[in-house]
Amino acid sequence: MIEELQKYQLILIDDNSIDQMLHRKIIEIVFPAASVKLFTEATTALKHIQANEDGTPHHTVIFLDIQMPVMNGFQFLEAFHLLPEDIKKLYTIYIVSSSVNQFDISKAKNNPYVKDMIIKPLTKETLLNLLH
Amino acid sequence: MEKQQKIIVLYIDDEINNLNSFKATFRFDYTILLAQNAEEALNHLNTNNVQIILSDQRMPTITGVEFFEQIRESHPNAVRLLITGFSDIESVIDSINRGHIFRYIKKPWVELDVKSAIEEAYKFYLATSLLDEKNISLQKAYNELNKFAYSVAHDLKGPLVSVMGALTIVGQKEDPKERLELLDMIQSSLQKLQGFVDSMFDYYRLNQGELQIEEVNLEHLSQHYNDIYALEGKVKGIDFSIQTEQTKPFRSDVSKLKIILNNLIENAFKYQRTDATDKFVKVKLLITSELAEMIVEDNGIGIEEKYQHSIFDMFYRATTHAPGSGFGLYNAKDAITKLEGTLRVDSKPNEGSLFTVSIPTK
Repeated sequence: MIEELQKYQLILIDDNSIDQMLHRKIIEIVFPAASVKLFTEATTALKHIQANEDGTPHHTVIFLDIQMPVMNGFQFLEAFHLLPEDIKKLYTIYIVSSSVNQFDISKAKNNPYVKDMIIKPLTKETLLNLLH
Repeated sequence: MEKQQKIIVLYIDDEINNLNSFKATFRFDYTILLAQNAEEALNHLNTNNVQIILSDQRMPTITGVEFFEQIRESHPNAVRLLITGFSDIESVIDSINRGHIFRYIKKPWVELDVKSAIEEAYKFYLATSLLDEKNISLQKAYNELNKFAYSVAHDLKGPLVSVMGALTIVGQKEDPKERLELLDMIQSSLQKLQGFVDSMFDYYRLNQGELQIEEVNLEHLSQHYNDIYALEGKVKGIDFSIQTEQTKPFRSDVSKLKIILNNLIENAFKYQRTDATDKFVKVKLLITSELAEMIVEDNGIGIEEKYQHSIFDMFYRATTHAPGSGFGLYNAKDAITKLEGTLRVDSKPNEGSLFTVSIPTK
């Protein structure tokens, strides 16, 4: 089981660069072998996914913030929806946000591409729980 | 505005002669609508903004009181006046007490009674519709306050959560270099928090009390900014210059001028192009007429045209280039408005931004 998780590829999309670095550090602690890509703008992340630059069949987990300028988390999900199926099926998306707005939470949870919602801060325990 | 327009009065009576004599008497004073039955009356109510309704009590299919009860819910703002003979008084009193009718007018009516009743009723109409308007704007303010409280809580929580996260990791890292890195993150998060709290104070001060008008000394102001930003410019490799010219006295609220300048200059520093080698921030303060001009120019990342009208909205952020709360320019704009000034933005992406603020002397 653990070996399988080590192969994880992760994409973090968060405009707050401090949170990004923190999340990367926690991920390094929990999955030392995982590869992590960071994006402060959802538009760039989308381009990266669209171009399928990794060119790999590996499954990738996306941690997506909601409140971001230029393109917010929900707008990213709308754009993601328009991608070809064979790209989409490679990704699992988790919302990672400090939002406690009921409207945001239910909107996130009802989105078919969102596996679950994680309230910041991201902890070791939450990360381990994700894998069960 | 409404005062200059004629009061719109609807009169309901089954006898056509009464209707005609009413119209003949009052058509110069009011806009008169006539109805012979409830159906016609409703028609008028639905198509006109009727302010006052007079109805006869005794009509063949429906009494005046009954009609008023019927329309009370659907047309609550129109003030209701009943015209009735003495024999009906008992039945009417109850209705008045229940609040359906503002006043009654004795039949046969005399011009003076009707006029004074209409004038009184119109005053009541104005007062209640003013109250309605107030209630609507209060409700709106209340909704905005809710939204504001949420956004503020969210923005305060963000950096706090980062600090807590960083502290947890510090305990798990041995490497001193990594620990220092984490402490740096904690520091920048706390600075962000402090910046946000400072903006909140600016917001509070802007909405608090009268303007504090005094003679403005541009030299002092320019010295103040030179002290703060000349050094920061050196550290960050940004050429900071401030130029002043004053040939006329100028009176204004210095604390508000500072809120404007602080935010514009801070943004000019924040939104620089990372790869540029000739970064600059130029400030000009000119008072050569009744208007003070404050110009803040940079050659940073600029603002796309489609975002230019939104950057002054509360909590709006157009870029992830640098951290911000979306509060600064809102406060700057608010301060400019309070000083009755104007603001112009000239900006091109990747070339820079030029903010020009004009403030009249007090």
